[in-house]
Amino acid sequence: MITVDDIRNSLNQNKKLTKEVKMNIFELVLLFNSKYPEVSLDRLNEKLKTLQIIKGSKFVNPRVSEYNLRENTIYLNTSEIDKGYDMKHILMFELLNVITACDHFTGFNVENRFRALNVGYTEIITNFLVGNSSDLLVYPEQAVEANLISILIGNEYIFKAYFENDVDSLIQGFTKAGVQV
Amino acid sequence: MKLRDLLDLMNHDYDQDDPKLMGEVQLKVYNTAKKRGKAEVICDQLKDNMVMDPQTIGLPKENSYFKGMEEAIATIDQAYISDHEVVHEIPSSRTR
Repeated sequence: MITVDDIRNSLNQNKKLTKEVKMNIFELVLLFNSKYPEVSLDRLNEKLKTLQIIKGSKFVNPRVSEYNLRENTIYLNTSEIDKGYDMKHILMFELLNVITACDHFTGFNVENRFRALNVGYTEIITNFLVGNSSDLLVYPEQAVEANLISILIGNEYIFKAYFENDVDSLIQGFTKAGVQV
Repeated sequence: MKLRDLLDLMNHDYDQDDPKLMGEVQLKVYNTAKKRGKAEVICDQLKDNMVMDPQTIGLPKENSYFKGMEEAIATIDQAYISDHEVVHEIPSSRTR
């Protein structure tokens, strides 16, 4: 089982992140692990060895941040960030994408079909972990929708689907709630 | 409600940043719960919800995140109240 010492060592191996960024990431991982000790850190541990964070201002995607799992890179859109987002919140949001990344998708977002729900659930957990010190909200509608749906189908289904990439668990929850699949 | 329809609404809102669709998502969720006889349960769970507790959510109480959640819950609560209002019939007057 991966420990926080393993996480620290993996971060130390990464030559692409600054010392400050490594400290920030480590702090957030500690926080995540304290709140969700049952979630495995195995995949995160591997990805932290080569994770990159790239800032830029000209992205096709106008969003404030994005995790590209194929490149294992977090992209930060400086044009958006300069508007005053809480960077601790943004970094935690993308770290959750790293934590829940499998080979082809993050969380339960198979074939990009569940992208809004996945983003909303990520936002709920991010707020729970680190709050948001900015007036700028991140995906507020999606968070509301994800909250409603987790109440409808039961958080146990969506939680399992999210952290274990188990979309079948999500489908099972919807079916039990009376949603035609 | 079909899952595909729900996902299409949510994804469209996300892709186009169209918050009007959130209201439709809320009503679909409520109507699904109503069909299963769980409308009251859903309303109660929404009100007593970890996500709404500032102490557990890590946000100050005045953060507008809660405002969005409260509005969503109020919308669904209102739908529930409307469905369960007792209608008093007014007797019609006799005609000669």
